Amino acid sequence: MSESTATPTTTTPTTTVSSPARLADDTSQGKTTIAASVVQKIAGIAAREISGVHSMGGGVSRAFGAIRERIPGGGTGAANISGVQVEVGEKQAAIDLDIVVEYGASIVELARAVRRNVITAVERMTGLEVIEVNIAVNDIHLPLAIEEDVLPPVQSARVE
Amino acid sequence: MPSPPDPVALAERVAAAVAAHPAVAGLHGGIYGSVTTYLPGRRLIGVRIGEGDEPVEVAVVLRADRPIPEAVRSLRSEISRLCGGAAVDITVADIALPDEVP
Repeated sequence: MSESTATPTTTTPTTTVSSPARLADDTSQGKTTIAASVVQKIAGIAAREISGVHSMGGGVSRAFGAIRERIPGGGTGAANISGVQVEVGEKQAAIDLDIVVEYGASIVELARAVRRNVITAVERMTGLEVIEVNIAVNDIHLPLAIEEDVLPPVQSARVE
Repeated sequence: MPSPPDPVALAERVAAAVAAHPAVAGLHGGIYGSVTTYLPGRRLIGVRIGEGDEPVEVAVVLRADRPIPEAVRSLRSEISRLCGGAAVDITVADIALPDEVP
């Protein structure tokens, strides 16, 4: 094995001369491709981390998630990526999120926190520049279970 | 560049080195499943040694515990060293969360 360490020969400049130095000191040493599902997972996890996000997905994207689970190689981690659509370019990514919020959370504040966390996570983990994060709040989760729990004790107290 | 002595052996060496890298959770066939070396009787998924001036292609599932550019850089230098300084195209096909890693 020759120990000629990677001294990039600049004889073959690739067409992507303008590509950034972030992902790639690349150009002559090879390309780095980050699959969309990677960005989807990271964004989905980062969004869920914010307290007040009840779940992700809704309507169309839930339906797509159900279909995607059935496609071989369509991504088994569909639980993580439902409600997340991404477009990934060579150096930038755009992210669309569908979220369901908890009742009682300030949606404006929540959206801001989600956006901040998603941008931080994706930029740090992938080195891609996140150009936009569009957030659609398409449902609100009411804590019905709590109300149901409260009722019975009240009634039994009256019977006594 | 002189062609490497034995692309099959080289592919196996690269696959072993990649799989042993601490940032790598596993090899992957790439986005279209095209990153594969065809061998008699089996396929080596996740590594493709290009012919001539073509780059070496590698597709991996990385662990989610560190930034991807850093992991890719270290992987690239390791593979490139094995392949005599060839260009290395790396596809990060997926990431494995800590609870998914076998």
